Amino acid sequence: MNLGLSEIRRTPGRFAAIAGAVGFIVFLALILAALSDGLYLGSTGAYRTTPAQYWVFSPTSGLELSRSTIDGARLEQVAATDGVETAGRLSVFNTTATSEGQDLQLSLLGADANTMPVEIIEGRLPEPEALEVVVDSQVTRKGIGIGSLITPTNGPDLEVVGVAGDAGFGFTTAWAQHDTFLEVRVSVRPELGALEGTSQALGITTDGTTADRIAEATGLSVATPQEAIDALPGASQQKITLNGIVYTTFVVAAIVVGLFFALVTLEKRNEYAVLKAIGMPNRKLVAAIFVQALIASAVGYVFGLALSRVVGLLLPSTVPALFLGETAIALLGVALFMGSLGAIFSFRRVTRIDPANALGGPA
Amino acid sequence: MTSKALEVEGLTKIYGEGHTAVTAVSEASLDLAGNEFVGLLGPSGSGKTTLISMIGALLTPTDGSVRIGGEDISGMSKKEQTRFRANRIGFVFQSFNLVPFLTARENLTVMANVSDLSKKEIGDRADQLLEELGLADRRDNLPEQLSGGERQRVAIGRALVTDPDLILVDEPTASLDTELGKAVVEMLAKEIKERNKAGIMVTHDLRMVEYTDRTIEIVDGRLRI
Repeated sequence: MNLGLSEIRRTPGRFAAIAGAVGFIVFLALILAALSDGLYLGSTGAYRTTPAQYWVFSPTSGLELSRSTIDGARLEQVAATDGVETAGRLSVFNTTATSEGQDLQLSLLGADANTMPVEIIEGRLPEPEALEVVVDSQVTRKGIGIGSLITPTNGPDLEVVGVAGDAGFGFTTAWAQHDTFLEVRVSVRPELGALEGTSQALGITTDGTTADRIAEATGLSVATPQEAIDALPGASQQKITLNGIVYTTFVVAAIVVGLFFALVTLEKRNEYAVLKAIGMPNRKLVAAIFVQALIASAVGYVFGLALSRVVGLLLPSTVPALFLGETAIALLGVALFMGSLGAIFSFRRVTRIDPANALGGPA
Repeated sequence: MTSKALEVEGLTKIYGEGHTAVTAVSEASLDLAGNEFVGLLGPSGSGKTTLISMIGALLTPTDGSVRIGGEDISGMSKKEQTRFRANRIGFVFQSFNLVPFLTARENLTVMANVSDLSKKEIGDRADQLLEELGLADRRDNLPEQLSGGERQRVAIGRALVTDPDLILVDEPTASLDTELGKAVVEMLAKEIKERNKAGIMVTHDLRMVEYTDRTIEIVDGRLRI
């Protein structure tokens, strides 16, 4: 017989209160985590979703796409460098657009075949020189899908022919073949000129040759996808900040659980004294509290998870929330750990209760 | 069991040190035979609780010794004391002190968590005791669903379920009316004697001593046998 389980079974109301409190905290944490994941993944997809092992930028760009220019000659030089197996262009510009009757902020990416997103979950990649795009899967939440037309301001209609997973890069993200991208950009931003053959970065695959060797050979800046992501203005800081808030909420959860069990211990000190007097060892009493804290945290987590999913469905499509299974599992672990940690504060109180207090009337 | 179920010799408890030292119990000596049920009387503050706490392995004496069933418990560690209490001493507290979220039967079988007896042995003994105590049909009731007398009978069952050598009873009638109190003490005396146990009952109620074999008085920490 586990005393902790028996108590929960017979007095569920008491534990519903603490599970509810933990649940609301978990709900808050999961919503924040979804926002963190949504913002981070939605603004870094271009670097993560292609086959490229490294990204090549111009030397003074600071690994920022917007400050980098690679001309056609550099592309040929990089492609011909020993150890480089494939090289493809990548460029982006942001503009306003309309689609399905909505005004959009559009991030239009241009890519070659070997820097296009790898995960096409619906449809196909754009054909070369066709006015076609694939959109990031998050864009479909706005009712934009295969067959939809996206019209950049002053630009041509772009037909959506595919949907790519995890390919967001800031705003509503669409990917076109690089030559199509240049054609659209010159229509929308004629002051930038055609700049045929130029791009902002190159995505490369190698035979194992390191980034340093390629940088040395080409005189360009070469970065891993993570290094390129870290150089994106604000992306990492934003994730660190939101994750900091998420983990702070779990510290609050530990304190709430700790206070709850501290109060329960205070209220039950006579009961604990009696149990200890009749020979119940401390470890059994501590185990009961531990089991109760784990169950309260687990039930609270399930409640918080369900609530966050319901609220997630109600969020407008403009909110970049992304509920990831791996984040949910990681936060389950954190919730159980912090709940247990909170209970530990009561252990000392329980072990210090003197069983002799059971005699001579209520302690 | 030896002829002496309990041997207390020169038991002393002093709280504090130096000028602030207070002697709660002074050189108490006492023997109890098996199946002997003794009443311990004394005014408030006389040292009854301190004495019974030391005899019950709840408090370590400053001096003297306590032997229960021939085993000296005075020098035991806290852990050893806990284990000893679980197996060799039964307690009946005042105010019932049952675990409120456990049924009558579970309040007895909770001892399966602590005693050396197997879960099955404790379960069988619990069923038998509930039957003997007239609680067979109340076994699945929570304490709040039981009357005062029924709760105290459950507490008696809990004290007996591990088959201890010594039963310590602390003011068993404090929360009961006179008739019920008498009935409970009568039952206690009967169970203790029938099972050949030694028992000490702390009480203020002189009407209850008729059920004991003899009474001991404690005044200012000293026993008057």
